[in-house]
Amino acid sequence: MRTFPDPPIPLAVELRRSFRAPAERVFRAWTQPAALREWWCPPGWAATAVEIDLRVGGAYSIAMRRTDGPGAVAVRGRFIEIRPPERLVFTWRWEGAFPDSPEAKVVIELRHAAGITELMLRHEQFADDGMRHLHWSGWLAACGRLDRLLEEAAG
Amino acid sequence: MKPAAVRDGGAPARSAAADGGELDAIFGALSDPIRRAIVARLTEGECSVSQLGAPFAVSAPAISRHLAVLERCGLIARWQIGRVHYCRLIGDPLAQAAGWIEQRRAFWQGQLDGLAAYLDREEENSCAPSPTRPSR
Repeated sequence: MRTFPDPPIPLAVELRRSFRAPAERVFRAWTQPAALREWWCPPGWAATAVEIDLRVGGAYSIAMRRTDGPGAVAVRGRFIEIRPPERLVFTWRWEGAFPDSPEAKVVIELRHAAGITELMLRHEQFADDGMRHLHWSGWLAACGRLDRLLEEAAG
Repeated sequence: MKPAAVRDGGAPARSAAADGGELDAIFGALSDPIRRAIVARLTEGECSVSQLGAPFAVSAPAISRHLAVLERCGLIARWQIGRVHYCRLIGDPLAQAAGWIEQRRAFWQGQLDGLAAYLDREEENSCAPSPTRPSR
């Protein structure tokens, strides 16, 4: 059983995935517009604009629209940390989706060994002003269930 | 190039509807220690409003105002039998949090499927050795 820090833990999702490619190639896939156009959009969606200013504080945006009907969304943010080919941190905000959702942070970490690159992705909500005043611990301790949910989600 | 394969279509828009304001409202409602304590108490089961207010050094009208906030965001229901007011938890904020996590996880799993397919295609399509491939 984990103990919860106070003030709040942000909501977070963590995923791990291995790719049969060097870390440099995986890193480029995340940071080059031409590569992102190739893999970012799910079927039925097309990238209308991919802009990347790859420097700390630089902005990025990936705009997509449905190919089979109306519907457009975009993801925008700024780079917080750029350390090729092992670490990329950026802010994350949907436009046209999750309208009231606070800005989030995405951390990508890459580790290469024996021809395999392991990617760790963490997507977490910022502790914005609303969240900052949320002292989860008492309530969470009383309910005693969130750590199980987080463990399951992270596992 | 072929379109990205093995993906769950429409992930961005599909997950757009169920999120956002509702979760914010719940976080807002739970930003107060007394309201959190009320929710914690109600996780044990329904309870009369007077019992609920007993541990707190706040007036009955103040408790009533807190309950109104929790009711507005759908966390509790209130009803009356005779002169006794009751309330119980209806929303499940942890289920909301789990929903938030599940939506992001599904989205990113789809994205990483697409990335894996792209890296495989790129590998197949590269005739010349990639300049960044480690030579060792």
